[in-house]
Formats: sequence, structure tokens, C-alpha cells
Amino acid sequence: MVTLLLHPLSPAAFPLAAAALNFIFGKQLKAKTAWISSAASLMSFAVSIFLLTRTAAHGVMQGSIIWLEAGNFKITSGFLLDPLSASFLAVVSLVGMLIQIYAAGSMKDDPEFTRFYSTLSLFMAAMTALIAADGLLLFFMAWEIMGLCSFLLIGFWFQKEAAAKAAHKAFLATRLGDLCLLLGLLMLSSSLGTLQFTALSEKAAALGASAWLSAAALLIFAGAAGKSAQFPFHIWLPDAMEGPTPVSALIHAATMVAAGIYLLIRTFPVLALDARVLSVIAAVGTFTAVLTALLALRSQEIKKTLAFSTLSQLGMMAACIGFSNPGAAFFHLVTHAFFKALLFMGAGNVLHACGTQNLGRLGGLGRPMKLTSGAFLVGSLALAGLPPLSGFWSKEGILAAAHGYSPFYFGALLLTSFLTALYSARLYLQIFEGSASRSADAETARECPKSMTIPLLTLGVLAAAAGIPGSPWMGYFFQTFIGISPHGDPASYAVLAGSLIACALGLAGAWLSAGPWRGLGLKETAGAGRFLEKAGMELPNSAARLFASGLKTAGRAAACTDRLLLDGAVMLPGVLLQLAAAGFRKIQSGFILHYLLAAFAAVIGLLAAGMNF
Amino acid sequence: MTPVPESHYLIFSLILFSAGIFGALTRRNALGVLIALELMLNAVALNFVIFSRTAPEGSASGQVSAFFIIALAAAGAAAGLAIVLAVYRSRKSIQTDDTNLLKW
Repeated sequence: MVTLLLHPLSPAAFPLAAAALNFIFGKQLKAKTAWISSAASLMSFAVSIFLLTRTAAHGVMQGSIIWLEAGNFKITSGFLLDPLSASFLAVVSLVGMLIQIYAAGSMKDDPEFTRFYSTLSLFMAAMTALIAADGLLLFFMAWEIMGLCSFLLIGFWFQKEAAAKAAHKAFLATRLGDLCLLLGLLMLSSSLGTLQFTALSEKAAALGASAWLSAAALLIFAGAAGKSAQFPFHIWLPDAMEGPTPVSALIHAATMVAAGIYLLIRTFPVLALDARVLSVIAAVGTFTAVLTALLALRSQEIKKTLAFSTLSQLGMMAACIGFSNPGAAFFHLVTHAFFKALLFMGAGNVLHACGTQNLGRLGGLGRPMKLTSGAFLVGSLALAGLPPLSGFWSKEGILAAAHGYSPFYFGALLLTSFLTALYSARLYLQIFEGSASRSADAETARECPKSMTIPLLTLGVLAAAAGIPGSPWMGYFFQTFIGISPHGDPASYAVLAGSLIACALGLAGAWLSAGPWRGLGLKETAGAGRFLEKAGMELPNSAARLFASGLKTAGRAAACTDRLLLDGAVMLPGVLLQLAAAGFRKIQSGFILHYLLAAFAAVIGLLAAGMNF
Repeated sequence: MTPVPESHYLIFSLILFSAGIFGALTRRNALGVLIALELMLNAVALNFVIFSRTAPEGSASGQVSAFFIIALAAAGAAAGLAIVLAVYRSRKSIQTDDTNLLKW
């Protein structure tokens, strides 16, 4: 019993049970569904902590069952518990628990409360199963369930047209990525004969680089780019903010979108076979990081700004994998989960208190909402990369990797760091500082209930301190523990100076543009900003629309062919038979007597035929 | 006292079966047809029992088959009567000539 409870897949079993319970008994449980879901995540977290300590003490754990066997072809599926998955499990279940507690407050008055929690629990089950998966099979199944949950939760308020449309967009964009991932997965399995991560890396190393494997690696990266919203898939994430704020915090900032990065880390040995694949990943990641950091500056809504920021940070992580340092990418993934979930919760509190998240209408909320503003400040500064908050240490690792890779990428990521500091500080200053007169609601705004502030403050502590285990003060303990980087990139003074200067410049720029330099250069750059939005968002959007309508036309043509040729081929014999039967069917008279007579005659005929032999 | 030879039983069962066929083919009343069918089934059951007497010692398969036929006949009668009842409700008649709609 105890061993079953502490099985590496039991962190997924608890939320799954909670989802089933909430789904079936939702009508009776009502508000209690929130506590069932949160308790399930708490259990997951407890088990994950235990698993983490066990992994630290006893090393890697692995187990699998045969999923499918046909001749020599065999597919297994199971779990792989190494420091990477164990620590990710702990992070996801902790953040998930906090967000589920938070949602109990923020979603309190929603009539569909129980539907929300059953879907959220199902998501948690899929995410934890994905992390613990030992191979691409279970991974892909969990990946698809997450995509479904993401669709359901973005479209949670499907009565709103924008939400329904955003859900469709997210689903279709990620589906395209999923299709690539499935293709890549099939190519890997056909050439290497396995889908297990450890076996994959061994066999790939033994086989060496080939065009086939490189194509598979690129397809896997396309799948990861779909989920992690890298260019050109980045169009779905800003729209996904139509969902409830806890969903944005959990799925579209802390966990699901990070699954793409996790996939890249897991399949890194295959990606690393071909340096060209890595350079594609580095280029796409860096481009996404810079582009979306610029777009974040233009955004006028809190949640959209945060979504662009998520894109930018994910771009940095992907780029870091391209620089062949997955360990640093994972470190940033963890710290990002904490501070970005914190920022989204803060945005949710602002939305809850003022009913708007438009930056133009907010201001001066720091006085009435002290707890929220304090936590949000910590989150913003962690995002900006101010030492000694968590974001500084993890970004340092990425910058060091870029520094080792090429000066161009180092410069681009330094620019991203500068922009990050600029927009995150701008966000804080516009919401919480400044005159309250801008906002009609700032006078009446109240701090949110405890269930919404306590998770926020907990995450505040984590966002501040989570970087310490990976800092030089603890001798890069975290990176050594994870132990997946082929080579560490030692932080040099150039990197340190660069990141500090970028952060300081960004913060100062935000402070100046909020105060003395308000409005300076806004007119001059307005044109550039509009161009950026056109090129960065609208162009890919219309490209996606064009792609979709092309698919639709192709589908219609295929349907036409199907109706005329295939249906015709099937229908023709039927029509011929019908014609042939026109006279013959008259013997079916409808009189029971005739049928009986025919039956007896047939039996007698058979008997007679039998006697002759 | 000599036992009745098997052929007598067989002839009896043949007569029973022929009577059943005759009834099923000539009766216009659906109940009559059903009764005739029962006659035929019983004739077959009788055959099984007779042959089980001549079968090697210890084999009860003939008698088991007879039981099966009895159960089958009961089920068939239940279903048949239900159909007759349903037909009567909709057509106010159980003459087989009146129900000839089930055709092309």
C-alpha cells in the first residue's frame, strides 16, 4: 500500500481521482470541489517531495510495462524518476496547489465552479504524468490531454465569443505542433525502435547523426514550439488570456507551456546529434524572445503583457537549449514558474479589485492593496533579473550559455533582458504607483480575501528565494543535482556585468518614463510600434488564417472526390443489384404461409439431395 | 412382456410431426399455427428421447437435448403469443392472411 502510494505515478493518480470525483459528484459537492482538487495537489506535492529525497539518496528509478507487442515490435510505457523529473514534479504540484487554493477565492461566484475544478484536476493529472513519463508514448498521451484541458479552460467562459475563438485558435495552433511531434515520434521509433528516453539517447548516440534523425529532431522541436508558443506558433498564447486568471497562471505561464521546453530537455541527446538542429532552435528561441519582449512593451493589458513576457522567457529557455545547456534552461523554467504564476495571481487580484486590467485605467493601487503590490513587486523584480532574486540566477545561466555560443546571441539576449526589466518595472509602476486619480476604482479598491493573498505571498517567498540553490553561493547545487548539462558554462565577469547593466538600465528606463520623462519619445516610436505589431502578430495571424483556409479548400476538394469517386464506387454495385432484384423480390409476398411452405420445401429438397449421395 | 419396439415410437413421432406440418400450412388462425409448431417441436423432442434409449450406456445427451427443446418451445411460445397479441391490438385480427405488410 505504502509503496503504491509512493509510486512515481501516484502524483498523477491523486488529481485524476479528484477530477473523476468532482466530475461525477460536482452537483452535490459544489464549493467542496475546490478543496478536493487542492488536497489532491497537496498529496501530489507530498509524494513528490518524498520522491525527490529518495532520488537524491538512491539515484534514478525506472519501471515500465509492455504497452503493445506485435512480433519483434514492442512498445513499453512507464515512469522515469530522475532528479530532473522529481524536481519538476515538486514544482508543478506546489504551484498547482497554490493556484488551486487561489482559484477557490477568485472563482468563488462562478456558476460553473465545479466544471472548472474537475478540468483543472484533470490537467494536473496529465501534467504530472507527462513529467514522470519514461518515454514519448505516455508523454504524448499526457501532452494531448493537456492540450484538451487547455482548450476547455481557455474557452471556460465560452458564452463570450472572444473566449470561444481564442480556445479554437489555441487548439488548432497546438494541434499543428502536435502533428509534427507525432510525425517526429514515429520517425524516431521507426529508426531507433524505441520511444524510451534513456534508450533513445543511447541508440541515437550509437547510430550517429543522419538526415533522417535530424528531420525527426526538427519535427520534435516543431511540436515543442507549438506547445511552448515559439515563433511562428506564438500567436495563440496572447489570445489564450481570455480564460480565467488562475488558468493563465497555471497552464499558460507556469506549467503546460513549459512542457515544450521539458520535451526539448528530455530529447536533448537526439537534438544534439546535429549542430544545425541546435542552431535552428537557438535562432527561433532568440527571435521569439526579442520580438515578444518588444510586443510586451506595447501591450495595454496586464494579462497580455504577462503573456508576451511568458513567450519571451520561453524563447530564452529554448534558445538556451540551442546553446546546448539544457540544465540552465530547466533552472530558468523552475524560477519562471514561481514568479510568473505570482505575477498572474497579482494581475488576477487587480482584476478582482478593480474589474479592469487595462493599464490606462489603473494606477495608485499600492496603497489599498499592500500585500498584492508587495508580492507583485517581488515578482516583477525577479522577472527583471535583479539580484539576489530567483530570476537573476537563472537568467545568468542562460546568458552565460549564450556568451559561450556566440556574441550575436549574447547581445540579443542582453537586449531581451533590458526589455524585460523595462516592461516588468513599467507594469508595476503603472498599476501600483502614480496618482490614483487616473483610475475611477482605485479609491474603492480593497485587498482581496485571504485565500487569494496567502498563495500569492507564498509564491513571493519562492520567487525571491528559489534561485539560491542554483547560485554560486551554494556552488551551483541545483544544476549539479539535475546534472543534465554536458558542460556548464561558468559565469564570467562579462556576463555578470552585462546582465546587471541591462537590468539596471531597464529599471531606470521604466522609472524615468513613469516619472520625469513621461511620454518622451512615445510619438516618435508609435509608428515603429505599430509596424512591430503588424509584423509580429498580425502577419503570422493572417498567415495562419491563409493556411487554415487553404486546408479547408483542400478538405472540400477531398470531400468532393470522396463523394463522387469512392461513394460512387461503393454505390454502383448496390444500384445494379437493386435493378437485378426488381423482378425477383416479388416472391416475398408477405404471407406467412408462403414462407413456411418455402421452408418445408427447402428441407425436403435438402433431404432428397442428401439421400441421393 | 416384450418392450414396445423403437419403430413404433418413431412412427408415432412421424405422425405427430406430419400433423404439425399439416396444421402449420393449412391453419389461417395464428394461434393454430403456433399450436402446430408446438406439435412439431414435441415430435422432435420425442425422437431425441427415443434415440437416447439406444445410445451407449451413460450418455444422456439425447435427454438433455429434449430439455433444451422444451425450454426453447416455451420461449418460442411466449414470443409467438406476444407477437400475436401485438398483431391483434393493431389489426383487430389474428388471421395470417390479414398481415402481409412485411414485404418489399
